[in-house]
Amino acid sequence: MSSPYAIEVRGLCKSFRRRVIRGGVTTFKTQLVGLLTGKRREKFEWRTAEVLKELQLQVPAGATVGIIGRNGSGKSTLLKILTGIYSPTSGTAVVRGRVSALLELGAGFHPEFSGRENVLINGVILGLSRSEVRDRLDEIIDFAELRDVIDEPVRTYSSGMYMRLAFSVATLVDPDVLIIDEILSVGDEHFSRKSRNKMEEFKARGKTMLLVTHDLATVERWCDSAVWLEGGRIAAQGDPREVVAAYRKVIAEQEAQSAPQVPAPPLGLEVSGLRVLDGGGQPRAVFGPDDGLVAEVDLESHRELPGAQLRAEIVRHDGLVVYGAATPLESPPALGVARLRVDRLALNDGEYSLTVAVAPAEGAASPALRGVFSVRSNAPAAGVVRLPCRWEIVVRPPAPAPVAASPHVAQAGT
Amino acid sequence: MIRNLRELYQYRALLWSLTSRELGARYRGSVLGFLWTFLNPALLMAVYAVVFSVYMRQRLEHYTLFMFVGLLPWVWFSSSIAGGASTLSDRRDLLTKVRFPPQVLPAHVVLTNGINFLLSLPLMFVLSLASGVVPTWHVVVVPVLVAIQTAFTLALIYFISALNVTFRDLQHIVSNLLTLAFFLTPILYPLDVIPEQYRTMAVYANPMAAIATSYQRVVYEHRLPDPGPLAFCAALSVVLLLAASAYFSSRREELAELV
Repeated sequence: MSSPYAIEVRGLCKSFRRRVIRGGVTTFKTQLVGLLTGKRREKFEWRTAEVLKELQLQVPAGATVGIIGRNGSGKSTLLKILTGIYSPTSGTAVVRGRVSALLELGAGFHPEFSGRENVLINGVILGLSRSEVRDRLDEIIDFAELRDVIDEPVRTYSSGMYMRLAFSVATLVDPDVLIIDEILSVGDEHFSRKSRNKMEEFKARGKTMLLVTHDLATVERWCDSAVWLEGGRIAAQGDPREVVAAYRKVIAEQEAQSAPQVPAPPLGLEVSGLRVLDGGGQPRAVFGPDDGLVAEVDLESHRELPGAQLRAEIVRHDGLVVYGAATPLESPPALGVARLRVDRLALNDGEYSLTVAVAPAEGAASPALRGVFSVRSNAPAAGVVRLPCRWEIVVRPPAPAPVAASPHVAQAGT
Repeated sequence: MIRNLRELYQYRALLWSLTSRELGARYRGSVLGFLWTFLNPALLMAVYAVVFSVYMRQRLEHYTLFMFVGLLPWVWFSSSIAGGASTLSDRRDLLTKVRFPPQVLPAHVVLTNGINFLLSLPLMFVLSLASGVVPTWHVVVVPVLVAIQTAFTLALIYFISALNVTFRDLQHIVSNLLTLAFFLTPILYPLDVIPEQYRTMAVYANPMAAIATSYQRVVYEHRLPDPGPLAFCAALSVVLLLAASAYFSSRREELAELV
């Protein structure tokens, strides 16, 4: 019986018992005093941490699945259970086929040994036979581009070289299921592209891949589906763009809440309340690239503030400032509303935040108000903006007499 | 528990790789390199020879040879136990980052030291010849002794290394117990120095005594070993090894989490 799923996880729970030391730092003196007086200052306590709670997950064979989530959400623990390093507390985790896990590059490298010797032993640790490793030794060395230094001890390698060697060994194992923990960006630009190509190749050959990464763009671009882990549970799973968007939104909202509120001296001119609206004045969170957007802020003015400005900024989730401008605000009303009207957003898909603040001619601005919105389109394109452009195809009439071999030469002759 | 040992055989390539790396790493970077494998026991022998045949003169004929015959297997045993106690707790990188059969780690310590032991055997025979003692056919028993000692040492290391993961004091306790065991084992002195009433206990309660005296019988006295203690020691080693494998298997799942 064969199952369409390469990975099947049912009701998976994992908890760890950890010993915590309370009561300060252990030194020789505290230990000695503790032993002599019979009182141990530090108290040991067993604490149970539930890392994974009732997890259900099915990965079809040949799929590439990205796992995202914050630190401590259980991503690595899940990978370690699937790899077989940890065993589940309850529930089952079945992986069909030969598994190779890249949880840490260079695990088991010995600094005193040459690159070549380390490749041999590391390959065996990863489950190959010695002759298999020997057969592919040249391939590995060439892929890592370390032919010149392969016989020097790895302690003399730069960290980039070390990682390259480790990555080359790890991908040499030809698994059915490849489990990767945050290592796609290995080495310099050139090698990182190379390693990506290697991954593409795995994908093209129908291997199942499971990767944990904080590089959300990779998940969007690369994965067939995404799983968002939050506190040991699956918060969302499915289409990578949707899952990533939901994750980004939560992160952005939390950041907005926890942003340090620096008490600024009152300017006498304040913005209070920011609303993100559509062209028709209705509150909205998701826009199309051709939609209009209106940012509406409430203004309160208590005194004259010469040279005051309204500052608006649109920032993409990755920190890229898409738009930023300061507009002079002359004679503001005592109580009023200011609207920033964008006729057409012309932005590509992504999560954006919009901040508005007032600033005097000199000195600090008022605390910025922040709103979030996302852009979704039916036909996503690369890049940041959607320039208002289109293709024009013009049919050229056939040339009257094809005399010259090359049209270029023919043109030059006329 | 049989599964544990069968897997060990399955992973023999890994076991061998780790062992050969360990052997290579030990003297890596030193000028004399692999020569130290022979030089170390030779120098150790010289130290004991000077002390016990010049300062503390023994009435035994060819005392240096006698002492050396017992000392070599002891060095194998004690360095395996001392090094093996922390073999799991020291290799966090392997246990938690790779799917790795943990029983390979204790086994490779025994194997590494065992190979060092085998490599030092020629030295023993050279010494024997130099003392004018020609080895007899009795040396055919040596492989049996090696097998028994391997089983016994492996069993102890399985217990100790698995326990040491949660109780790290063990490695320090063990290294002190080894010193005690060294003097309780008839290596520097012949068995008949021990008072009559303790002698039986000394060889039955201490498997290393049974093994060391057997080596002495075979190589130094040219007699077959005393079958009683040796058979008991062999049976005990097998039972211990099975128990230790079972214990190791039962803890295997949690080793990666606790280490």
